[in-house]
Amino acid sequence: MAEKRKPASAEEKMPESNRDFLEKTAVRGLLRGAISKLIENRPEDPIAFLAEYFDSADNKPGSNKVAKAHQELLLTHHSRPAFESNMMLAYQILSAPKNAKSKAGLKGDLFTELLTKILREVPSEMSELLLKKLLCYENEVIPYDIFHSGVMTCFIFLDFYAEADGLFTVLDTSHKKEVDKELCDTVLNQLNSAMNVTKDDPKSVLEGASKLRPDALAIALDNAFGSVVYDETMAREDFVSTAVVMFIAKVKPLR
Amino acid sequence: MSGAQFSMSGEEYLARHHVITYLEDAVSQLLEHKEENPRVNPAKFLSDYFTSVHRGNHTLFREYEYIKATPHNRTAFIRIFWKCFRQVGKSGDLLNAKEYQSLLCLLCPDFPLELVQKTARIVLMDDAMDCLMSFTDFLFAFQLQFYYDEFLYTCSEIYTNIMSATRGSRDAVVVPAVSRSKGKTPQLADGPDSVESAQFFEAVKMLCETFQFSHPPVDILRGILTSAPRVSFYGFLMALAKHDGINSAVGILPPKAQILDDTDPDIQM
Repeated sequence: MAEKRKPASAEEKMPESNRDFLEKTAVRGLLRGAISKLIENRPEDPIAFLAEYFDSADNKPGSNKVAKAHQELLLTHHSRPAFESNMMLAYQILSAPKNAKSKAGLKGDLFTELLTKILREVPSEMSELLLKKLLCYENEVIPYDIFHSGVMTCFIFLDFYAEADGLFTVLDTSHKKEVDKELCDTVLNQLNSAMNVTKDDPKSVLEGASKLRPDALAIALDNAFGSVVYDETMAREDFVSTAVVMFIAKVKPLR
Repeated sequence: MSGAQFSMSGEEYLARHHVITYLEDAVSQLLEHKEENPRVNPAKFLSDYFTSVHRGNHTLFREYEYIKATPHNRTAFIRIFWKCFRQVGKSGDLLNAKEYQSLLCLLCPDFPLELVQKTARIVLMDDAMDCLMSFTDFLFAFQLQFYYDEFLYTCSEIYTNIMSATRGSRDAVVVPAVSRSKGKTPQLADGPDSVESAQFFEAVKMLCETFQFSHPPVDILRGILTSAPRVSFYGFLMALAKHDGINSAVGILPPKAQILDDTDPDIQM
């Protein structure tokens, strides 16, 4: 018996089934994306991560490209393999054409904006020094390898800054916020010679690493104490900025 | 940056943080929500959901099944219970188990009486349902019972096994637990019902090694169970409930002395 077809209007008024709703709003894709991002990046706090993830998945008009790219780069540490794919995604986000007429590609001004954002936690005098090395013209197009170098350098710099700061804390055993200048100079010198590694010479890499071994440091410190000790001290900012200057000196300019 | 989360499989990582549990619940909440608001934005809804989970105010008025689903949910609920009802403590009122259960049901409509009774037994060492308890005593016993529910249940099984195994082989002479010179520490074994602490500890320690649910730090268990030669089950539980280390391990309530202060800002988790 042929069933009477329900009139179209009644069908529309029927409550949408759960499955239809989920399909219509692409929730499944959203969830799948979230889970794969989680497994790739393994953040320490997945709940906070998910809150952020769904927030940015909510495509608000006018969301900042630089902010989104920066978010992408913060998902996992730069030493992890997943960082490479996050970097590519960040590049894509930044290169997306502004409108139908403009061409895709990353311009220098956006690139510098991103690097500045990455370095925002570091005191501006220091980040400016680094940015000078990574300077690009406003309107020049930045290819991926330059983008990669620039971004990597910034993240490694952040780690270095944290290490130098931590090193001062270790030296400041009496918590006076100042450390004997002789001690600082010795450590900084060791650090400097350790950084004189050339990428292609494995021997120099090993030599550099060995300079920072506890016994090598101890010998250097011993020698230092043997010489005349001036009663000068060094404060944290001076120590860290000296270390930072050493690091930046090693950075090859991008252009 | 700890690397531990990278050396486990994807499933282990997700399971450790109960991600799937939350995603499943988020989606069913979303579907429920759309009945009233058909134009809901799923991404925003999910983001709000996870923000509220992250802050720890997601368990209010939810069903029991949900609030006991993850350790984080349990601690969030304990915290809400404390914040909402510490007035009871301040006013000095003493309530019985049934009254505490009504309070709990205000926050969780189907909160089971059974769990409240178990809590009362820890405080009172007794089955009397009409006995009155102070808010602070109840709160700490509740924290222990609710957060470590599965652990306590398995310990009671271990205890019963040891009891029945040793029952035939000893006389009914009871050696009372030696009270420590400090005087204030509670007796671990009260009355004829007790087992050898060392034996109980060994079994519990083995349990902890493979137990898939939360359990108190083994050091604390060792400390309690080596303080007296014999222990009764409720003596053990009472010692746990009052132990500051347990409170720190759960990490959600301030120390006992500050429970009734209301100067703390609402810290978001």
